[in-house]
Amino acid sequence: MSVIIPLTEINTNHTKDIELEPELALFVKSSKWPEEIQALFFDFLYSNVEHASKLNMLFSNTDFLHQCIPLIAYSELIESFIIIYSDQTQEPPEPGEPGSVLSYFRSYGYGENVLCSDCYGQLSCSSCSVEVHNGIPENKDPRDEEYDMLDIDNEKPATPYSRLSCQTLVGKTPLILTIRKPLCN
Amino acid sequence: MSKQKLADQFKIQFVKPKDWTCDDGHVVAHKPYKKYLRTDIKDIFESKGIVDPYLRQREIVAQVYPFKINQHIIDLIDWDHYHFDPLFQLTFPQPDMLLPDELVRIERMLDDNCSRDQIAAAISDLRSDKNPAPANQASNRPIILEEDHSYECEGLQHKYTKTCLMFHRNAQTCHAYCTYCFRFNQFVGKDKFLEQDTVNLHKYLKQHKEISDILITGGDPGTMKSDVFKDILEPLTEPDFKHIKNVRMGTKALTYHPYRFLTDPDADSLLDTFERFISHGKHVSIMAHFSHFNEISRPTIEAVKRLRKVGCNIRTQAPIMRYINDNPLVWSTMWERQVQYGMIPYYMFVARDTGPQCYFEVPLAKALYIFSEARKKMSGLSHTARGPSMSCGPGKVCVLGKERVAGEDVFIMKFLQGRLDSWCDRVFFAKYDEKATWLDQLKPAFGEKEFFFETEYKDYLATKKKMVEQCQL
Repeated sequence: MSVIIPLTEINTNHTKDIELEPELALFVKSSKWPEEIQALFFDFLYSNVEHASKLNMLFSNTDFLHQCIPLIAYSELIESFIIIYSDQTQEPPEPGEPGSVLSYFRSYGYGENVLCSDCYGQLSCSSCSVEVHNGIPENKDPRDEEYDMLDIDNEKPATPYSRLSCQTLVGKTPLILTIRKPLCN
Repeated sequence: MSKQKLADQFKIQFVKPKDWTCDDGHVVAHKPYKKYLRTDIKDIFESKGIVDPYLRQREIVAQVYPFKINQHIIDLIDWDHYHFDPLFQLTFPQPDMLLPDELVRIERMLDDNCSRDQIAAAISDLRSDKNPAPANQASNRPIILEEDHSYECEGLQHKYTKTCLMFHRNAQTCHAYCTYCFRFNQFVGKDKFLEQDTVNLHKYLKQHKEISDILITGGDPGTMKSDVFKDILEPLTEPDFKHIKNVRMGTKALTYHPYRFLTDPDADSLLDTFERFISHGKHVSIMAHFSHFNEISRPTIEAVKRLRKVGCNIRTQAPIMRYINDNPLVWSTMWERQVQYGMIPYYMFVARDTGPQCYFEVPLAKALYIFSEARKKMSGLSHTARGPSMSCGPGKVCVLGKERVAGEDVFIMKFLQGRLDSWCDRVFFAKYDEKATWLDQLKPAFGEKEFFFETEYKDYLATKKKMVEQCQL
C-alpha cells in the first residue's frame, strides 16, 4: 500500500478533519524537512483522514511497526509526497540491498521518475541518493564504498543527511526522506 | 477490527523470481544477485576459513582498482587453492597490481591515520599514473551536426566506419569487476562515457547511413533492464534505420551473472525484446567475455542455450592475461567448449597499456605462441578467433606471426580494423622484440623510421581536435 500526493493537490484551506497522534506530529516536526514542507505535509494529513489514521495507528502502537514501517518521502523533482507502508513481513526482491529504501520504492511500483537509480542498486553510482531527515535506518552509518559514491556526486553534493537509497536499509523506525533534485534540473 | 486485521491491510505480495527448468529437467535455482565490495573482502576470507596473509594489501589495491564480486563467482573459485585459481586472479585484488612503493605509500597513510580525504587524494593520484584513458578513446566521440549547434556526444564512440559504440548511463557497472579492467576509471566516477538516454544514438545513426553495427557496451549492458533495451532496439526496426543490421552487446553477464538471462525478474522480457528485434531481420550478437573455461558453469550453458534459441549469436572474446589464461591449454579447452555449446570464438586480445598491466601483461611473442599452440590443438571450427590483437589508438592490430625476412627477425603485424578504412587488412613489419607488450614498444623493421600509419594518425588526431574545439566555440 502506498500513495503519491502532488503538492498541487494538497488542500491548504482545510478544516482539521482528524487529530494527529502526538508521536506522529512530533516525528514530522523534529525532522530536518524545511518548515514549509512540514506545513504542507500536515495540511495533507489534516485533510486526508485515510492516511492520517493509518499513520496515527502505526505511530501510536509500536506493535504494528513489526509488520509495517512507513516511509514518508518528499520528492523535490516531482514536488510530491510519497508514503510507502512498507510490509516488513517479507523482503522485496530487488534492486539494491535486500530491504533497502530503493527496493521498497521499486516493489511498490515507483520507477525512475520518482527515485532514479542508474546502476539498479549496485552501489556503482549516486543517482539514487536521498536525505534521511528523520528516523534511523537499520544500517545507521554508510559503509566506505557508499561514502566514496556520495563524494563523487556533483549533481547532488552530499550533506550530513545523504545516503544512497539502495544501501539504506529500512530499520525499526519510520523514515522521513527527501529525494533531492539534481543541481542541473 | 482486530490488530491482525488492521496489520493485514499493509500486506503486499511481491513478485518472486522463478527458477529455471532445463530441457533435461534439471532445475537451475534462482540466485539473487548479491554483490560484495572492498570492505567485504575480509568477511569472504573468514567465511572460507582462510587467514589471508595479503588481506591489507588487497584492501589497498581495491581502493585503486574497484573491486566487486558476487556470490556466483565466489562459488566458482576453488578456495582450497585460491592463490592459483584463475577466477580468484580475475576478480580479487592482488598485492602486485601496485608497485611496492605505491603500496607502502598508502599503508603509511593508513598507519598515520590520515583523513579519508587525504587518502582519497593519494589514491586518485595513483590512478592517474596508470594511464586511465588508454587508446585515446575520447577522440572517438562523434559530433552530431545540427544547423544551430553541433556537439560532441559523451556516450557514443565512432572509431571504425561501420560500427558505433554506445555507453548507456544504465550500463556503467558490471556484475563483478575484472582485476585487469581497462575502464576502471569509469567505475570510480572519473572518465565519463555515458549517454543519458537513446536520443543522441538514434539521431547520430540517422545522420550516418554508413553505420551497420551498434555495439552496446559499458560497463556491462547486461546490467541494464529490458525496458532500456526496448528503448534502444525498437526504434531501430523503423525504415529510417534500415542500414542498421547488427546489434552487439558486449557483456560478461553470461559468466558473471548468467541468471540475468534465466531467472532475473525481467529475463523473459529481455529475451522477448531480442526475439522481436531479430524477427525484423536484424542480428543480435552477444559479445561474451570469457576469460577461462572454469567460468563455463551449468547456468552459463543454459543461458547460452536460451539466447541461441531466440536467435542470438554468441561470440566470445577475452584478453590474454598472466596468472589467468596464459597457457595454450586454457584457450584450446575454452574455445572447444564454447564451440560445443554453439558459441563462436572471436578474439584473443592483448592486455591494454593501462591499470595493472605490469602484473597481467604477457609479451606479444608469448601471446603469439599461446595463440598458435592453442589453435593447433583444435579443429577448424574453433579457428574463428583472431589475435593476439591490440585495441590501440590507430586500430585493432594483430600479431600475425614471427618470421625471418631479409636476415632480420620480424613480427608480421596486421590491421584487423583501422581508424582509417584504408589501413584495414594492411600488413606491416616490426622488429622482433621478445619483451614488447604493446604496439608503442615496437620499432619498424628494415630500418624504417616510422610505421606507415603514424603520420596519418597524428594528422587525424589534430583534425579531430580542431573539430571539437570548433564545436565548443
